[in-house]
Amino acid sequence: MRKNLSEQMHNALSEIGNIGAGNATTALSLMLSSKLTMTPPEVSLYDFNQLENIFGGADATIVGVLSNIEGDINVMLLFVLGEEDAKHLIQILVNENISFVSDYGKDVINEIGNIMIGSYVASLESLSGIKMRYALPEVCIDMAGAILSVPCTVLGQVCDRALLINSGFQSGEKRINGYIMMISESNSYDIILEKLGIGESYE
Amino acid sequence: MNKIVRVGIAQMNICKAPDRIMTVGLGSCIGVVIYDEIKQIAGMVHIMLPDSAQIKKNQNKLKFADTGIDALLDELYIWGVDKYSLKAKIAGGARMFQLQAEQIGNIGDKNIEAVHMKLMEKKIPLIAEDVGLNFGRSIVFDPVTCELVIMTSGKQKKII
Repeated sequence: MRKNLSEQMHNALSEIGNIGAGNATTALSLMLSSKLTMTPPEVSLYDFNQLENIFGGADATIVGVLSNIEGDINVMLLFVLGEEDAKHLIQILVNENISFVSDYGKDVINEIGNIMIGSYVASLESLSGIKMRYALPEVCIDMAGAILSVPCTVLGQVCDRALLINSGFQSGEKRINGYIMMISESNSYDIILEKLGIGESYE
Repeated sequence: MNKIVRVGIAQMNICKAPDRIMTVGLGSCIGVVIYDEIKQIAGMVHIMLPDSAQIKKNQNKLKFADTGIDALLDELYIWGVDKYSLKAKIAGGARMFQLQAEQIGNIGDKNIEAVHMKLMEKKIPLIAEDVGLNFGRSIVFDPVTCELVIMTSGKQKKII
């Protein structure tokens, strides 16, 4: 991954995020009685040290859903939600107050993550033509610093920053922020950008 | 007034009694504490990866077990510690997701091994450790008592 995120690359990733988030919102809305609307995804780069501040510090509890993607590219996708946002989303989905650390709560989160990641993979596949398979995801609920160390250790081998797609929902008055991170060594990014036809235009 | 000195990811810091030193949210990363019990000075580095030699972009020395511990020792010497009475305590090196090992291997285990090797090379005795498993840790070290307090989400505090 490069230090300078060119405008084209930014637009391409935003578009992938847009379509992915659109698919995910439609899928989640179908499961729900109350309708979710999508908020336009924002793509941003964060220094590792600032990453945890999005969630209120390294010791804040967050929810991470991780899935391995294999095929023409090998990457991991991590879907992350803050504690309050996760609780709220569970409540909308199952319409009852359940603990998000219970097995049931984790299953609900796993399913949300599965839909988010699946939608993102589908949009990436359709835009780039890259074939991908993704495994069933795994949920981890723990400190932000600990969960975010997973992308940081992989990306840390090539850079000191991580790219986040903020892909949120709006349910009535409430905004729920969900983040998707693509965790890859730099060559998978190169393949994606090349397939999208913008491989040469950034540095 | 004593304060708590913070150490961020891929950073280091030093503290002198009565201050304490802490890092928050260790996952597969390791918090390495090296201290001089007599002078009551402690340094901590929050390393992310095992080996700087395997990676091209390794300008940030504090990211790696090998160069991170070297840098921490250099800083501790500047603070006037006695080179021959240094001891170490470490925590971290967890595996947050079982899945991650399929693609990137178990970085937590590699970090633990790399820290052990480096401490052995520098002849610094490892007094205690709380490493591995699958949960995040926040740690605070007090150079007066030389206790390392480990805090985890939803579990009891542990002191080593």
